[in-house]
Amino acid sequence: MSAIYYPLTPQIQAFEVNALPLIYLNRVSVFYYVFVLAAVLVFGIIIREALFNLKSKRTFLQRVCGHWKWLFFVMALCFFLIDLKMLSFQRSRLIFHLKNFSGKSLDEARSVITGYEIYEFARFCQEKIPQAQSVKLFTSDVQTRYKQLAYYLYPLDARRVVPLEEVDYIIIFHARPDLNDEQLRQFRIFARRKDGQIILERIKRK
Amino acid sequence: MLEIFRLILALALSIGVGYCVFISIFKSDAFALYFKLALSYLLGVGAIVFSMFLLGLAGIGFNFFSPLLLCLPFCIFALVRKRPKFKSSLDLSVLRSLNFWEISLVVLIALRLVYIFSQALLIPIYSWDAFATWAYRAKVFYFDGLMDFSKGANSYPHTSYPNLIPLLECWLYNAMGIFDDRLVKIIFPLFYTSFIVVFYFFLRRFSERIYGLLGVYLLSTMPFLTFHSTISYSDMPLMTYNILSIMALVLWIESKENPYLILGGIAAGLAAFTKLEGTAYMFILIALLFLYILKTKLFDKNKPSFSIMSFCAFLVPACVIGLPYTIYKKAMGIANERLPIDFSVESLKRIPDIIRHFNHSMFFVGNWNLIWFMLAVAILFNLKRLREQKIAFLLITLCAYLALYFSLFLLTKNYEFLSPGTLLNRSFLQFIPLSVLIIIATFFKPRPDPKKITR
Repeated sequence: MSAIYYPLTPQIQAFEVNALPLIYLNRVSVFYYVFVLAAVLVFGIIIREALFNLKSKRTFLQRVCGHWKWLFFVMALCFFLIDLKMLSFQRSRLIFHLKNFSGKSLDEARSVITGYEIYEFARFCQEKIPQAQSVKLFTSDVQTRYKQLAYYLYPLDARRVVPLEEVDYIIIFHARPDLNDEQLRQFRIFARRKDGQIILERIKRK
Repeated sequence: MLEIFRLILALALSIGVGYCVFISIFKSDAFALYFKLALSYLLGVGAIVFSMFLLGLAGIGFNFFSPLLLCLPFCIFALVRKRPKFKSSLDLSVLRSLNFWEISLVVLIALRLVYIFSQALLIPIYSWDAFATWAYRAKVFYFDGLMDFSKGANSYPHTSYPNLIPLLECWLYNAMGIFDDRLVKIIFPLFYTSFIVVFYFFLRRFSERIYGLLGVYLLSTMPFLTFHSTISYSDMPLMTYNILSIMALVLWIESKENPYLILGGIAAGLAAFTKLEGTAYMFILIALLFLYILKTKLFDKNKPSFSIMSFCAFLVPACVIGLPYTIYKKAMGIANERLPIDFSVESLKRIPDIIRHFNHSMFFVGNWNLIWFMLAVAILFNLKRLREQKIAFLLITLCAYLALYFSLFLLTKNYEFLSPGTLLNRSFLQFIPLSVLIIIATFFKPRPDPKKITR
């Protein structure tokens, strides 16, 4: 059997990264905003209460705590600034997605979000493989691409656990199948979309 | 175009079914139209999905009409029993009475809604868990036309997970007549919109309009909530039902009107029907309600005593909706994943790590804006107000939920999923509005007439 394993090219991976409708800054740290401003405020309050408000009958701690409204105000200001930053981020995301997704058909949009390869390959498989056949799927990673491809392949049920003897087709997406030579000899190349995107068919027993 | 029309029709019908549930619960018609619509959507999709689930158990195939037909006798009964008057209409004069700050908050909230609707409806389903579980199962239900658990735990990916979102998506695919995983995502922005409307009306019961809007604005500034309203995970719908249940309980504590308990019970049941964690939340709320009733009976003898009926008004709907799937799973031998106890004395060493992760996920990621900081400030500077019944109840519920996750990570294999942070963040999402409720309730003066809902 000719080569069936081709790793994902950097170009395809780059496509996927660019196409992913990326989310938001999950790790925006609020550390800076809060602590710098709150620390300045608390420091200011302590200085004021320690140096300029000595005649008050309340204790030093009571006087400092009496200024919670200011602390709350600073916090609200930080809150609003962070939110403005997030709004600006969401605006730029929206523009990006309008550019990439508006006016696109459902198929085109699915193609874009899966990096132009996975969805196209899933459609290719659905066209080639008759329905109600037993399939086994191998992908370059068992998490993201496997789940995406299995999702788009359905009603071809790639996630059903089937012993190899019962498998009619093997679908390979830039993966080295976890099969030995003896097992691979039971199959032949049935269709190929691109290097690395291959369907194997079981050789019928005579 | 035809599928869009069918989708709108399906959503309108679900609101209609929800309205029938609403008028069956509440005798009074003194609620604003926005509130009724929002609550009807939440109750309606729950009723339709629960009907689908019953049909699935009976081995009856799914189509657009079958769950509606199952709901029909109930709807006719509800409408005959109490004819809707549609007294309250859209009163736009309220817009003229808004001041500058209120208009600013409305604009900011509206901007977020525009973002959420556009994001959800521009991009087909793409998120990991949706591909892996929720949307995948919806697609399987749609193409197979039935629910088949005959293979036990191997029937579907993560078979033990509840089915509200997959069944709802399946019903909408049936309604549209095609598998369109872009249009189907409209359910999530609608969940979000309904939730903020209900949330606003809850806050309005206790505070002035500006604070109601401020609460909704605080909620809308949390990027993680915004993000989850545009993807097709179950965490945001779970949050919606869970918080709805808590708000209904607080309204009952304040007013002692049993319809709120029924609403809370239904919402708690639907939460259990949305995601596994919902069952734990349901039991926590049942326990808290029981303790509240017990405490009132034992220590507040001057207050009116509550019969066992009050407790049952919450317990029965919660269990009727929330437990059938759990019982069915037991019967089919489907175990809940990652829940088996994995505890030894060595596990105690996890405690510092769990605390570190809690601390990091609450305070040092951008998912929540500054909500947890604000909550800390609100509690520290208003210790006296924490004794108020509703604030105490909210705070105890929040602590119980945090304790639940703490013990889950300490005692079960969920600890393995602590490090990436996604599980913890999603867990916090399911009850983060509680923080906003506590902030608003502690910081701002209560309304003089809390029983009246106005706009």
